[in-house]
Amino acid sequence: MLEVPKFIRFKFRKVGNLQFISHLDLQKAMAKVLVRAKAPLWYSKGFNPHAKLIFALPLSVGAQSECEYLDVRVERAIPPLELMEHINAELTEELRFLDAYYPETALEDIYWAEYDFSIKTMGADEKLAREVEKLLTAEQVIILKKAKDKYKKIFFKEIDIAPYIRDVSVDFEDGAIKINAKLSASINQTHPHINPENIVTMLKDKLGILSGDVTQEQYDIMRTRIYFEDGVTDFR
Amino acid sequence: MNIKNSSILKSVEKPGRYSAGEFGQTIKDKKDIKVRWAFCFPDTYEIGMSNLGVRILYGALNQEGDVWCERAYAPWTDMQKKMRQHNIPLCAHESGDPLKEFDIVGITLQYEMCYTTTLKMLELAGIPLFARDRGDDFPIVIGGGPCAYNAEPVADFFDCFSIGEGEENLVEFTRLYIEMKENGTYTKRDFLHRAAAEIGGIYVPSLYDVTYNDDGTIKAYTPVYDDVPKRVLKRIMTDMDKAYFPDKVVMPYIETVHDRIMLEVYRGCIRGCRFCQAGMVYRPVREKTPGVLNEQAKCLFEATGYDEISLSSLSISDYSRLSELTDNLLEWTDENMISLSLPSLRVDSFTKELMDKISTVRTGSLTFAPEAGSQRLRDVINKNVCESDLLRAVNVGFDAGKTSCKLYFMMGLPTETYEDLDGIAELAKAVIEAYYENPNRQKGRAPSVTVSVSCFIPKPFTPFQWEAQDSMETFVEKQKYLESKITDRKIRYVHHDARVSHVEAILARGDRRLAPALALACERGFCFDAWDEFFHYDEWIKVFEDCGIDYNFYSNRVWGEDEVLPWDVIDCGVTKEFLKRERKNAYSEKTTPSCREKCSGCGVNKLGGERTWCPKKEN
Repeated sequence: MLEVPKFIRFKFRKVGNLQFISHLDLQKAMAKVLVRAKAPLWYSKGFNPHAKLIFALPLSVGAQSECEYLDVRVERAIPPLELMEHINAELTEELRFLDAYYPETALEDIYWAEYDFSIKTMGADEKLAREVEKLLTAEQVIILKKAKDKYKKIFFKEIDIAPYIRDVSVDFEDGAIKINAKLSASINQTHPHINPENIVTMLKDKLGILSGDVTQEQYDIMRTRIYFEDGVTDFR
Repeated sequence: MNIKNSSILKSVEKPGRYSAGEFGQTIKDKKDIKVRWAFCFPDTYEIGMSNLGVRILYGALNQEGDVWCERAYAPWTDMQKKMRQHNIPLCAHESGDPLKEFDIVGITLQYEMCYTTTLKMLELAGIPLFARDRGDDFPIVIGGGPCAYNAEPVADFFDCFSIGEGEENLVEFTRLYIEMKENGTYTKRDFLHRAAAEIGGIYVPSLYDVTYNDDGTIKAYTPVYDDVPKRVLKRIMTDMDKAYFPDKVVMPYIETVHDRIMLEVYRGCIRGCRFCQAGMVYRPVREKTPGVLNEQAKCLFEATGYDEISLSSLSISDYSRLSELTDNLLEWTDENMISLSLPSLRVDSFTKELMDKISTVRTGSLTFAPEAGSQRLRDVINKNVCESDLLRAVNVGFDAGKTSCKLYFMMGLPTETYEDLDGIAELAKAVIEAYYENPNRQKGRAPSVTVSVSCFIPKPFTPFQWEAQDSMETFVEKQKYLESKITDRKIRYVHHDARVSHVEAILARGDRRLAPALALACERGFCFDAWDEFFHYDEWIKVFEDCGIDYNFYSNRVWGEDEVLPWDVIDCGVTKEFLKRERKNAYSEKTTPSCREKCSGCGVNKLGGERTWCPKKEN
């Protein structure tokens, strides 16, 4: 007898308005979406049965993505693409499933995530673009990372992320600074996970950008691709 | 509120409140639309999204092909600040278009303490507060909801109110608007006049002149036209099986207050608790049949994916076919991992059979509302439960392994004495003792009883509508007294803030002379008064004083039974004679049987209704 594959892996998009939905809220909403789509969910046995959903890399509020990964445990085999169609019927364009398959890799194999940053700020020009590039490709790239001490008090610690940032390119285009870079990404703590928001914060601190009128200035972050350890092969 | 500016959204708390884009929202093509409605809930998104009434009316209006109804909520204070800073007006949730550009702005008034938020929303939208200052170019502002039964304190800010259930009359109202716009006869004044004269349940405050006596009481309400009704009769849906039911639900992405299916089982209440406004104004009882409910529940489950169905009504155990309904539901809910919850159980109906069916009871604590501590006072308020009912009910819970129990009471009820307060402490003690005497209790665990005491507020259209509220001093004294009586550490005592209840009482029975105070409150930045952190009693009192208002005239005075009441202009179906009779019964400590046992002649059966349980009507 064939063994029933335990998980179906989905790739989905979370853009536009949906960037403002927190990870916790997304998890809850997604569970309801799967029920509406009549997914054959596996439920834990016990007093309070619950489905098993594993999200690969939680996005912070205010970041968008074209490549979110979600593993869903199912109790019986079902053609993944067919299920995906049912799921998409329960979603809007801003949250849409793009691919579905039985996974042959572990989410732990994720190593790099690629991001597009678009920064509209006063006085953006080619010169500023070069300054940004210089900062991001320096021998040391120091960012402030939020951490908690043993009393759960939040403090900021300086870390050098130079080893965890690669393939940086910076352009000045349509009046905005466009950055494309790969940042170390991890679903567990085997290697560092760099929040793209930290990069923007670092640039704000070092260059004083994005400090003017919020109706004029803004930035967008879009996660575009996920890679294995070599930083070249697409994760699947 | 739909804000497209991502920098602003990134700088506020919970931006998901404003970002919109929910699954199930109604988006229409503006070129097909003749009327744009903005349905406003004067509180946060999380609270507004949980309201069943809004959900129903949103669906009912959007059923009309040429009408687009959108939603709007009150932005939180951090967002309000940003909006003022950057001149962003209040916008509708779906389209992001400013409210000012809409044809009709509807505001639901669920509780008195939302009045300041209501005005703040109008201000943020750039809509003049007073109806008289709004010309034909501004939207028509219509109110509704429970507070519309006495909306006099806010009457000057609204063009009109929908009285009772709005499924039908809001559509009729909208159709009349379209008709008059299309045939070129529309002026705001003529439209409101025709609406008041032709559509049942539309109250237009500006079409009534109010005069006052020298002692400050009301002399008369006089309609300014002959074809405007002297009293506006509320609207009801007569057959709930056939009433509009929203099968498509807007699914919030962020957590809301009630993240579950709310299945409306019936409207009205067969009881006649004498303090309860809902029990009077939602009469008559109109049940849905179990077959219809089961289908609606299935439909809602498929549309939402929620894992909990809450059976909603004023007193769910009074539903005549509850057992049949729960059995029908359990046939499919269990296998779909859905739990049932019954939020409004009476102690006299809480049985083991029922408890086994509902799973929230498995996890949560037991909650009951005896409302008063002594049998005498429970008879006065016509609660119709006794101590043995309560003890039996808690024992059902203790048998099943429960250890905690919450009891709700009210303080300051008419005729209340200190012995009645002793009764609250004794009842809590009796529950603790019952726990230790129960052989099936969870061994080795101490019980805990929470006693939560609110302050009585005399509400319009109740037998207690003429009563005085206790003074602040009396409330504080009584609260201290009760605290001293509760010595057992297993009993936790919490009480409501009497200061909030005082302002609520002023607004609940207020008249049009309170409008300047509310406008001044808005000017002084009042908003979210239903939230403890934004409620400032001293500032409220100062507002009343600065407007020269004798506020205790409304709250702490015994009103004369022959006085003209501000809400006499509304007819909720229940007669004043019935309310007077019930008040008399209260003073002679006489209870009144439920509608199902015997008709007490409240008068509401003139409205008709299917499956009403009214013995005077053929069912």
